[in-house]
Amino acid sequence: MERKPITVSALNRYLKYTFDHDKNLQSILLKAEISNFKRHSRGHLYMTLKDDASQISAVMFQSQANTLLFDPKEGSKVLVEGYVSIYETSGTYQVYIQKMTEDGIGDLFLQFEQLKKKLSEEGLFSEERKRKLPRFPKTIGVITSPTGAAVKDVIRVISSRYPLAKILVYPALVQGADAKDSIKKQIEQANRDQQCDVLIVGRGGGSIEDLWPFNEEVVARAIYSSKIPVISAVGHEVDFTIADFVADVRAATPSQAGELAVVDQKDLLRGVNLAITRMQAALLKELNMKRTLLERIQSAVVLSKPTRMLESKEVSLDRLLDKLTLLNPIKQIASEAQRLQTLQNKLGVAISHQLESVTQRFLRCADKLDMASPLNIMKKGYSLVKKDEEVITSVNKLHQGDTINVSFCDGSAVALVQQLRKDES
Amino acid sequence: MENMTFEQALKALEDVVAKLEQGQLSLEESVRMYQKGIELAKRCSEELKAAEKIVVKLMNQGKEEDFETNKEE
Repeated sequence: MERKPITVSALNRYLKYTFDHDKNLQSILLKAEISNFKRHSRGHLYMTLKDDASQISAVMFQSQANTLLFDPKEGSKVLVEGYVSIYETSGTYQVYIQKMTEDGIGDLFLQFEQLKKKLSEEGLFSEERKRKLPRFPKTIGVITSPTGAAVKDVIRVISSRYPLAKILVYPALVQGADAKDSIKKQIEQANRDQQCDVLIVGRGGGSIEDLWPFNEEVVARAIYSSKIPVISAVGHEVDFTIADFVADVRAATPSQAGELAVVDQKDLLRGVNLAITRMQAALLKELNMKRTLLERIQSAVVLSKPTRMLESKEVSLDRLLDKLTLLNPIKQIASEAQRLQTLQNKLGVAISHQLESVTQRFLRCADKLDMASPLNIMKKGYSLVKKDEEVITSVNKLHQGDTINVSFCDGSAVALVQQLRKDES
Repeated sequence: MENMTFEQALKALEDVVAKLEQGQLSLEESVRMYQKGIELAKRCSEELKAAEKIVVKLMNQGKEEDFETNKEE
């Protein structure tokens, strides 16, 4: 009998048919832990469901994933409802998840939400309280397990970035029932020691139970009370703990905590080199400016052709002299003197005219006077009769027997009045 | 300058750069500033280069002990 080969497609189609018609596979309820969790950009969730001994691939499509009441992640313990089928193209079988809930940690989740609400209302998470980290910490305290991956990551990152810092490891339990008190004690110890400028508190990734100490109230309050700024660094990017909310800065991972705690020396060296370049540029600019200024000064007329400056001074001196000449008072004095002379002349003429006319008048008066002089009249034969020094002009003033004095032009005579004859008129 | 911390030296360097870039100094002051800046820059980069290995200590009851970084879990 000859066997007839079938195609791979036919085989996978057959397998899919078989799976899809198996009642047990079409409705399963699975208890598992999530690993290799991936959230596809289109919203589908891909993961491996496992227990201690075995594992199976699983997918949850976006439409179902949207109905999830929790944030599935690495290590989540879950209850899954769905079916198993074959993906024909790759020939792989997987669980198609239709419903997924958290298994067993419902109480923890509730605790977390309640504590978060309580501390938030108390103001432990307030943004105003968050302190800035020192830019150049001298000593960095790391509160974590001294043997875990976290401390190694922190040391590796800080020593490559900023070896000037010193790291003090405060050993603490980071999982189990005693962890919360151990972490709290070391935060307090670091504050008492007063050596550190910044504290990194955290641990590497793990299950939600592993990370649980960082959701404890005592740890939250210890971080809140710390005088030293605290960077929280718990688990992976997706893990959020109460410690992250209280801390001054949350680092997604311990490695990132190292990056947040210190600047990179490469950046610092670049900054120093940039500073040198900038200083050189500034100085060069300054020098060029000064040089340009010097050149401008040197090329100025007064320095390049000093005589020209003098020439122009000469010209202006001439102009000034011209002005000065115009303003010379000698001329004015001369013209004033001339005016004075003219006035004097006029005055002289006026005075001599005046004198002349006065002289004429005087002469005329003198002539008149001369002609009126009694001597002249007496020369003509008239005499002057006085009695007791009184000039007698009327016969009525004389009496018979009066002694009178008769004056002539050349002498006088004393006479006796013998007879009075008055003119009939 | 010797007693400055790295942070202070870096801050001083930043100040020098800012002053130089403002360009309101005399030429002599500028040159002096530049020299100071170069010394600060040298001091900063030398300190970074000098610190090759980071100091890591384990705090045990307030006392520092050597910390073995390569110890496996």
